[in-house]
Amino acid sequence: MERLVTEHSRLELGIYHRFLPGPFQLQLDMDGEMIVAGTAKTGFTHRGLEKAITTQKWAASLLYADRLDPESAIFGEYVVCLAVEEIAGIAVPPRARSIRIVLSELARISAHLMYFVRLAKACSAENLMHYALRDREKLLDLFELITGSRFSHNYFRFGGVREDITDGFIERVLDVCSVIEFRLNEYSKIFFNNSIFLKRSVGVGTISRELALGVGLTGPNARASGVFQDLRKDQPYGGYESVTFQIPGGTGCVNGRLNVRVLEILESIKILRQVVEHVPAGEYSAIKSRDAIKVPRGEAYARIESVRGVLGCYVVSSGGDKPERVQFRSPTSVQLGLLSDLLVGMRLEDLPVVLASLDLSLSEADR
Amino acid sequence: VEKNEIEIKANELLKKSIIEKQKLGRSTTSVLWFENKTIVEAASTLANDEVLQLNSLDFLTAMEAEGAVVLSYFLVSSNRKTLDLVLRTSISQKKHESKKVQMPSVTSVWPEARIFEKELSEVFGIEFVGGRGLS
Repeated sequence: MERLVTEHSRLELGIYHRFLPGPFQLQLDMDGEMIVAGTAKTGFTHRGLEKAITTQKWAASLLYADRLDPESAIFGEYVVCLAVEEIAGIAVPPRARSIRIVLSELARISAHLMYFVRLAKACSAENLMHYALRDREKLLDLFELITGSRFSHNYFRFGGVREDITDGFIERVLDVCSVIEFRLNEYSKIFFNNSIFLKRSVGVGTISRELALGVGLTGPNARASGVFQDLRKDQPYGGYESVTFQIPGGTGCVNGRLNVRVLEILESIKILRQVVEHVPAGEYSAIKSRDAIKVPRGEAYARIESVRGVLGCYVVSSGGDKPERVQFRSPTSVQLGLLSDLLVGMRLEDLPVVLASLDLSLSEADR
Repeated sequence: VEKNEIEIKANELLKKSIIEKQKLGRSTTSVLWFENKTIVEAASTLANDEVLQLNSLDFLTAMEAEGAVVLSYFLVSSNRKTLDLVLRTSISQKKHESKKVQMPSVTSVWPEARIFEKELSEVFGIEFVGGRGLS
C-alpha cells in the first residue's frame, strides 16, 4: 500500500491564546494532528523584577517579591524573608513562624483551587470552574481579614509578620477547612470521577520519573511522577519540622497531577488544624520598626516548597541599605524546560488539558 | 554523611579546589572554589562519587564582582535531598569586548542546568559551550 508522505506544518500558538496559561508562544511542528517537535518562547512579561529589587531599600524588596507570582504572593515574600533573615541572623519568634505556616498553607489551597478552575476550563467543565472559584473566595476572605488585601498581601516582614492575627481568625480558618474538605467530595462526584474527564486525563501527557529527574522538576508535578521530594519534610524550614503530614504521589499523567493536588489540599488542611490550634503566645515580629533592619555583608540562598515546587532566592548584601543582588529560582522556569520533551508525540487536542495540568505561572518564569 | 565530611571529601576529590572560609549565610553549607575550565570534570566527579552522590543541580546563579562574573552551583543529593555544597568559579569579563565569554556547560552531567544556563546567558552574555543548551 502506498503511503502518503507530507511535509510537517508549523503551528504557532500565542503569545495570547485562550488555552495558554499566560503570555508565551508555542512553536509546534505538526504531522497531521500529532506534535513532532515543540518549543516554548517566553519573556513577554519580563519586568526586570530582580534588578528592580536591587534599586530599592531592603524593606521594599518584599513588595516586589509579592509580584513574583500574584496568585500565591505569600511564597515570594516568604523566601526573601528567609534569605535576608539568614544573612542578618534574625531569629523569628515562634508565633510569627506559626502564622507564616498558616498563611502559606492557605495560599497553597487557594492556588490548588485555581488549578482546578484552569483544568476545568480546559475541559469545558464550567460547573467545576464556578464551584472552585466560589470556594476560593472563602480563602481570599481570610487573606483580606488578616492582611487587608486579597492579592499582593505585603504581610511578611523580616523577623516576623506585619500584624498579629485578629480575634476569630483561628475559628474561621477551621470553618473554611471543613468547607473545603466537604467540597472536595462534591468536586469528586461531579468532575474528578466523570467518565469524560477520565478519558481526557488518564494516561495523557505523562511525565516519566526519569524525565522529571532529568529536568529537575519539583513540586506536585514531580511528586505525581514518583519523585517524592518536599522541602517541608526534606529540609524543614520555619516550623514545618513540628507538623505531621504525608507526601502524596501519582501516576505522572494529567489525572495523576490532579489527584496529587487534591490530596495535597487534604494534607494542607491537616497541617492547618495542627498549627492553628497551637499558635504560641508572644511577639509576632522580632523587629518592630520597618526601617530598623540592618543587613550585614553576606549572602544566602533560601529555599521553600511553594505551590508549584522549590522556590529559591539568592540574596547578596554588601552591608548597605539596598540588596546587591537578588535572583529567584522559580519552579515554572524549570517546568518550561520540560515542554520540548513532553510535547513530542502528543495529539493537538490534548494540548490545552496538558498545559493546564502543568500549572505554569508565566509571571514567575519571566520575572 | 555529615556536612563537614562532604566538604572534606569534595575537597579531596577536586584537586586544587579551595574551601571558602565564610560559609554561605549562617547555614553550614560549604563553598568550594575551583578553576572554571575543570567544571565538567568536577561536576562528573561529585555526581558519580558513591559517598557524596551530588547528582542534582538545584540552582545556578551568577553575579558581577571586581570585573569578573562569579558563578555559583548549588548542589543537592537526590538521596539526602538537602542542599549540601556550593561550587564556585569565576570568569573574567572585559568591558566593551564584543566576543562573549565562554564557560563549559554542565548539562552533560546535570541536564537540569539547561534553563539556568540559558538565563545566565541572556543576563550576563556568557556562552555555555559543549552542552545541550536551550535555544
